[in-house]
Amino acid sequence: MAERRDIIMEPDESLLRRALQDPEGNRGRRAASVLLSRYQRQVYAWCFRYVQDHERALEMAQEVLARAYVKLGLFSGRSKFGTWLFAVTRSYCLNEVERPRLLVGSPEDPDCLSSDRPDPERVLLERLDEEAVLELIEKHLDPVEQKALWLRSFERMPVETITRVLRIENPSGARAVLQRARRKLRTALEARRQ
Amino acid sequence: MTKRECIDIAEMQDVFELPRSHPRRRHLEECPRCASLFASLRSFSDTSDEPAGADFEDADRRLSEAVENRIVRATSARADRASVQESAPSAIARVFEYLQRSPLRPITAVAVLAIALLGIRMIVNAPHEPSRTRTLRGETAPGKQQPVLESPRLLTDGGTRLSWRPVERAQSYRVVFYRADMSEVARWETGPESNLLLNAAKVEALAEAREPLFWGVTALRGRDEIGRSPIRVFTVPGKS
Repeated sequence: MAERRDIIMEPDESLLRRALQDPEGNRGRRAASVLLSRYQRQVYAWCFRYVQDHERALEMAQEVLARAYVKLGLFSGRSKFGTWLFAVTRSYCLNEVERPRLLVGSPEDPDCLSSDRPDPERVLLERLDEEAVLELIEKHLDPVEQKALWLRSFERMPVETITRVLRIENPSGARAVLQRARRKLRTALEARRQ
Repeated sequence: MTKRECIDIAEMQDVFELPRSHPRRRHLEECPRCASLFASLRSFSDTSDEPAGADFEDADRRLSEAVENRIVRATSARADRASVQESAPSAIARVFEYLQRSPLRPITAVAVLAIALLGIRMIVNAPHEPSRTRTLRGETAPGKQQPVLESPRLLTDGGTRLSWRPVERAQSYRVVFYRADMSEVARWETGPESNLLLNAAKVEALAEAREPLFWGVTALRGRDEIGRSPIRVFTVPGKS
């Protein structure tokens, strides 16, 4: 019990060292368990933001923690442990959720009204790779719009989370920013085609 | 600095601590990709930012239990089994030892054997009750077999054969390649055979990742995972 109490006070680096020195032993495993439990809340919260469902988020968090445990030996120590675990969590969530479209929001988005013109997103993605999209975004959008659109389309982040991450304080949050960004981008794309 | 020199996530916190005028710090703040990723990282680290609708109390309890079960108890059970095997004589040895010391040897022996046979029969015929221990998605339940990975072998046509020790009752296997951050690079399903042939083009495509890759195998029965190997570094045979 006393050992458990001591171990809880240890910094991440020390737990990690202990876990890697004796991965099969009781002490090593206990250190790994304490280390991962320390971050379980953050991992769960991150997964929940993507799926907005407690049970699903719990399953995803369990999977992330299990994978992180299996791959603990691969942590190179170039960053803090929390950063590495974020990278693991982020990769997992990105694989689990579908990529939202870049140029249109939800079907209720007023900008999504039907048109005879070709789907602008398909046109854009057929011609441009991620780097080119990045350049286009930088050229035509303001910094908050750039980040909001990137978080939505490439980080696959839900709109409510973008509002919090970017601390957007207007009443409609990131939704309005995204609509504006998409409109600008479509206009830019249209001008580019002509 | 071009956008192609985006900042690795592992370095972002250090770069953020550089003076604002430093080109790398400027890049971190101005590049939509890096700035978004860094904002995400900071949001992940901010424990006060709890999304509405999340049940942290339940999550804490169940995740602690899951981590404890998966990591600590699995070892304790293994260690306990090992120490029992090392220190205590087996049940059969103890029965024989007792019979040798008993004054009513023949009668006791017959009685003990009859009871033992009856007991075995009852156990074998008992209706199977589902285990109360929950197995997490992606977790191998205690006692299940793991596919044991063997070293990749180079084939004469430039391809590579990956193989592993088969798992009893497995109907197929999933082979997954990962980067160091656990993101998947590629996955294949093999069917019931416990090996996978990667032709030269596929090996070359994997080598193009230009970073260390890792591979692991999951044994499947239908859609259920029944075993999972530890992850190993993938080294193309003949190359260091």
